[in-house]
Amino acid sequence: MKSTLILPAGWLNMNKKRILLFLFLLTGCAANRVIYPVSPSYEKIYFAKTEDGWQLAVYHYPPKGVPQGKPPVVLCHGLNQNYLFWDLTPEWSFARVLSEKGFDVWSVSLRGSGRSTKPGWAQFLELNQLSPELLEQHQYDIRKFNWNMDDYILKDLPVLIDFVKQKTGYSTLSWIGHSMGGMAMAAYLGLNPDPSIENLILIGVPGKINDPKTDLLQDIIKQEPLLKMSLFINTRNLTNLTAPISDQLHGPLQILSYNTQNMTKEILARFNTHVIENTSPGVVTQMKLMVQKGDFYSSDQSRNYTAQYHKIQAHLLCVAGKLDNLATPSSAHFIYNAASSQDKTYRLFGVANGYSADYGHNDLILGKKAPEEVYPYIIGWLEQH
Amino acid sequence: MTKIIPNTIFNFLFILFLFGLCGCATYSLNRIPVHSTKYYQVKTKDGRILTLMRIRPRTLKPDPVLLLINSPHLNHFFWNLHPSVDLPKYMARRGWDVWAFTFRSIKESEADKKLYFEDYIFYDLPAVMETVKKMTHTKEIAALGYSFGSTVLTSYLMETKDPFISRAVMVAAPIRYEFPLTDSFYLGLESGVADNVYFNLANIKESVQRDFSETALEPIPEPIIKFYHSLIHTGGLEYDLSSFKIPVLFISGKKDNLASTQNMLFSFHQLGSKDKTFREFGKSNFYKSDYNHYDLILGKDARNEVYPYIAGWLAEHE
Repeated sequence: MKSTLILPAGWLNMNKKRILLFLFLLTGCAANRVIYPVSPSYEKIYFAKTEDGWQLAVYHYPPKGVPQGKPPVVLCHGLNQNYLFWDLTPEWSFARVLSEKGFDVWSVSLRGSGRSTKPGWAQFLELNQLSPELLEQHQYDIRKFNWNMDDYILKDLPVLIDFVKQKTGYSTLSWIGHSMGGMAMAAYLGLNPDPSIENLILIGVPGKINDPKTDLLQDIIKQEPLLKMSLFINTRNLTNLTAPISDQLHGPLQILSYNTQNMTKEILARFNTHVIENTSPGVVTQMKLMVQKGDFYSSDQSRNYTAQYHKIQAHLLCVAGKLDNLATPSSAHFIYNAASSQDKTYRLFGVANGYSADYGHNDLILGKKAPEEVYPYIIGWLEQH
Repeated sequence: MTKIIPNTIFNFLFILFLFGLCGCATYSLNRIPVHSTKYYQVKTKDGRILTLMRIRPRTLKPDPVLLLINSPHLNHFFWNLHPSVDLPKYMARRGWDVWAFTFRSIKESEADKKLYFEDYIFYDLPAVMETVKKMTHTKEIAALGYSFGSTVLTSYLMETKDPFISRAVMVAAPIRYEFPLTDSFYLGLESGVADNVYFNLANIKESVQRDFSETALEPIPEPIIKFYHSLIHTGGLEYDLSSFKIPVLFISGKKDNLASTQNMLFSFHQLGSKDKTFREFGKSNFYKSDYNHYDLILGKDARNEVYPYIAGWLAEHE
């Protein structure tokens, strides 16, 4: 009996090593935030409250210089990201460029990201972020650990649209959505055609998953246990860890999210340190369903959002990247084709259109030459509308 | 005792040597040696002379036949620019009787100025088919169309419904175009477009690229350029593709700007074939690089990635 209680030799030693490794990694994550700082330039942060009690952070960039006198522009980030996607460095800041051009810019963080309400367990994993101010705003709530895309579409978007309309006094607005931020708005407009969305700009937004699916996507959805574990996986700290060597990584997730050759090391490191947010199992499951079925369905599969795209009436600009493996050129073209907008434009960013590189998913905004090639194109389109 | 030990070792080594020898021998038996390349000349109905190239394995049984149809702006040298990018020999080693040819061009005489796209379909291809039929005594062949060659092949199949071609591979095939097109189409393909539009420069050997422009390129007859431009601006071939019924494999490159994945998928979904496969060569399918137009055949890794896929599909559909 006694012998069973004896731990294997070297156990204590091992544990010490593990603790050391853990501490090393923890300080490493914290160190990344110091090494790769960001200085978002929003003037004020507002909070909008949804009917089910989530707080959504809305960052305001008022117009600088000569105001355009046009409806406000709302920026919406993509899956697992936050508002910093639009405002990473002074140079790579679409929000800043827009406000300097005289647009009234409102950058939103959907639930679970940025300074909107987050699950409580993140509190323990993001100790270095915690401040009394944030605690006061109840940013973290242990009961709110799961949400899905339908929550974005049915609960977050109406609140955000109303909030911006109320704050600015305008009855219409322009929505710029990247990836899932655009998918959610396209789905929202398909459900209830809202005339207040005058201009819709979709940057790297997949309308449906093309048939045949790529091996990469098929392999990812086969990782069932891994996807289920997304409740416990802290994606934020995982990418945070790899931030300093992110330009050396060429794994499946990198292939999906950007064209590494088209992004500078500093931007990549900052992107991986600050922009990536934790995953919600509900959202992951719904994305998996989309890859399996091809179309974008609600989580209970009662609604097919893809089938409703024809109801989109807003002025539409679809921006696609030639090397985008998530929103492939033909996948982005799908929404363009389906929408019944009178005024719609589709633009592919690649060498065939005279640009410096074939753009990937996130480099449409964060690419090496994006501030010179992509931003002016989108702003030019906005000025015309 | 002192003698036995060296003898055992010697015997062991000798037996090992014999084993090795047999092993090597069986291995070389497995490899199909390739005949030297043969050339034929064919006269079309309207009196033009075409050059055919045939590479066949040295086997006794009749081999399945594969006809390679390259774009009219390339000649048959395109297929063996370098031993590392030699698709015909690669296929011949796998037991295929491979044929390639060069379409009529404008070099020979002045009468060629009256060259039309229809000449390829109604004169060149039938003459080639007839020769292949006569020389191989086979009832059906597989055809591989590359680039504009697939446009010719598709038109031929839609026009003639020739049962002689029983399965087709379309590599980088511009058949239909989904609008809006890219600027390089509108600006004109022949004028001042950078190399990286058609080549993934990181995925091609410099010598191969040089040989390509020195040896394989043919001048494009003006009527054909005009025809191609009209195709681009009207959305591609006007046939009802749902009557295209034979098994078909589509191969596209992720970076390809001439026959982009987007346009090829657009055409692919309109085909009426029950047995159809689409494969994109890019990093999202775990290939080493994102392929462009010419590197699907001439790329550094094409021999290890693209050729085996084509050979595998053809073997499945033999």
